Amino acid sequence: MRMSSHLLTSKGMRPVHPLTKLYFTVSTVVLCFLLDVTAQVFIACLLLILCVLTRQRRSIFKRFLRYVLPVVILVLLLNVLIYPESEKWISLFGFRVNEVGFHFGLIVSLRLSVMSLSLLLFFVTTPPHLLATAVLMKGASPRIVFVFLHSLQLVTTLRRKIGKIFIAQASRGLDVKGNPFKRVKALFPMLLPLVFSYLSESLERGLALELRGLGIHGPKSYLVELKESGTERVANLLLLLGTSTVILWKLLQWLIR
Amino acid sequence: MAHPIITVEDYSFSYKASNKKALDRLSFSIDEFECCGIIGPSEAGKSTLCYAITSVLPHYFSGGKTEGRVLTAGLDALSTPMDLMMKKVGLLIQSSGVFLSGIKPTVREEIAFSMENLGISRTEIVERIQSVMEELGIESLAERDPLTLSGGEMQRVALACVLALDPQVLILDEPTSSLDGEGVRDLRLILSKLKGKKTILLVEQRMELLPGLIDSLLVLREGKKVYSGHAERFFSSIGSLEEDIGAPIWTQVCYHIASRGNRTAGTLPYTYRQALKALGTIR
Amino acid sequence: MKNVLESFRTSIRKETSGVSIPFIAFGAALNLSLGQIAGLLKLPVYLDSIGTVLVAVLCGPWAAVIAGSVANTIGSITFSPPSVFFIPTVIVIGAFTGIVARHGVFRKWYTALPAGVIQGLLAAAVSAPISAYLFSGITLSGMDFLVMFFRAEGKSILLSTFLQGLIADPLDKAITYTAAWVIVRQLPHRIVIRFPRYENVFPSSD
Repeated sequence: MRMSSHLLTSKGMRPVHPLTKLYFTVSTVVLCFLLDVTAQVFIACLLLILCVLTRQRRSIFKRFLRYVLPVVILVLLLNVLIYPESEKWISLFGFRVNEVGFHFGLIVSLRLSVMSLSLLLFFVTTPPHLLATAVLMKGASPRIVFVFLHSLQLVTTLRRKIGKIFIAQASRGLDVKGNPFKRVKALFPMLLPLVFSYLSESLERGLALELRGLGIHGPKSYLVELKESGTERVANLLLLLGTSTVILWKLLQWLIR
Repeated sequence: MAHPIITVEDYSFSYKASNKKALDRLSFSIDEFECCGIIGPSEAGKSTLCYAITSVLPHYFSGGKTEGRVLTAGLDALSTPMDLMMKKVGLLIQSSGVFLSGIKPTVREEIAFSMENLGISRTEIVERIQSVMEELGIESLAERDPLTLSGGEMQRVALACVLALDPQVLILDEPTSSLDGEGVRDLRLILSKLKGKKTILLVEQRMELLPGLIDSLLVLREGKKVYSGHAERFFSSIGSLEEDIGAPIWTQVCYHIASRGNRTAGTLPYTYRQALKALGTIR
Repeated sequence: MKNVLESFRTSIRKETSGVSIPFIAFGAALNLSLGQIAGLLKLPVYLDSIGTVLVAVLCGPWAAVIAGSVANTIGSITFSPPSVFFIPTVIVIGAFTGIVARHGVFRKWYTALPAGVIQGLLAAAVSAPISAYLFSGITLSGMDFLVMFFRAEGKSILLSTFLQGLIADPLDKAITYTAAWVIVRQLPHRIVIRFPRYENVFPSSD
């Protein structure tokens, strides 16, 4: 599956450099921890606009609704219903809720939503192989980049294999429904074949990687070259400076206190 | 006049924590542009020999015991770093699916992978990819995802990855093990085209691939050299079958027909054409 | 200081060379896939660090840290974005497991199991502040009711999250460590000997 990372601009579609997106994501996540609610709301609105503009908006919002929203709702519910630190209760839409808990829950939910949205926007719109090339060009270890990309591919393969092993073992009479102890025992006939097969494959694959020069030290070249535009370079610098300034400012405030 | 490009002198190797010698005092040489078949039963040391020639043994199988010398394209295979050796000799391992990195989204980028690791310039990478894709007839696969290729297509792409480095020596370790009949025919055609341009070492279990392709034969058993020389001389003698080394299927058929009839088969047929001729005379 | 850095670099190089690289990737993928097995067998545990543990035993602590970190990063990409914030927990799991493996903990079940319990306690201690601060202790793991229970008892978010972890994590990690012991003792010698920390499994090999 190849994802594109295009954003609509006044000049038409163009891909944004993966590193610019990474710096933006890290900045928004860091800032949502350091800045007040108003700033967080502003960041949230900015992220929502960016999510709506991107082609992968459906995927972003789908994942947000499936994985993040339940946590956000539960966080809010937990704090409005159970907040032992305060005894102030108010009525909200006919329900008795803890006032301090409500504000606290909103803050935590907002921060969680902003940070999740920022991460989703980054990961959904950035093809892993392009991100890998971008970090490799900045000097990242080729071995670690390989581990990341290979794991991504393996997850799908393993899940399919696990499904097949489960069916095969269950048909051979493996007890998968008994008491917890029996079910823990059932783990091993499923896990062992998986580990053994990949252990042997690791030997061959490691050899292949050696033959393909993965372990060679020295300068690398790139077939797919990712060039940062002038605008992106300026944006990266502004993001770095802006975030560092806020971090230093907050640090100073904390020290003075 | 041909000169040796691979020289193995009294070479022995044992893997880490193993008392058994994987290769035992092996000595032979292979001339430049020669096509040599390497055969033998399992655990004969065929793959280990390939690793020794390509400098893989000291780097990937460290901790083993080594004696003797291996020279490949003028370089000491036991001490030369991988980045130098990769440009001289290319090894294609048995499983092409595992040989491909699996992390590149297209075949074009997959072929570029080794060259990128070696730091070859982008212009040259582009040229070499185009050249090798044309040579192997895989231009149509350029933008395909390598993980969606068939066995035969993967084999060709894996071969392209090796050939893109333009090695002087090409080693193929059981390349037909996962191929169907058509794949074997295609591979044979490719190797026939490469013959005379590169030195080729072909480790094979499918003996039918060898006649007409290889110039010489190296036979191993339990790490030792059993035979080194003309392939036809080896397969034509009854000894090869009695040694349980194997032979092309038509050779085996003629041998068994002759044995049943209590005849001496004389010289056994080596090529398919010879077998047809022989079968015409054996009733 | 220079010697420490050099020895650190040598360790990392040893643990991330050759055969380790694909196995580290497998460990990361296994962490992400084991949740599926736990779901199929309806086990009350996560089992999401068994890959990290296996990598720690065969390759070493640094390799395990990489496996765990990559798994969490991929977890962020494929399902829960905040997974990446639990990387400090996987660093602790990987480092601790690699260190205890060197002391032969995975050679006997009666050393593996208690080590798993200790690992669980450590993991709970490191995860609690992250979970408490970011999610008020809610992680949709099925154990959130415990956090609510402790909160209703008047405990702080941090303490409630920690207590929930104290109940869930030692059990999960004890099962994980025992599972790792079962697996490694059945591994063929000729394969294990190729891994950088084979001596964690076969001490007298050379």
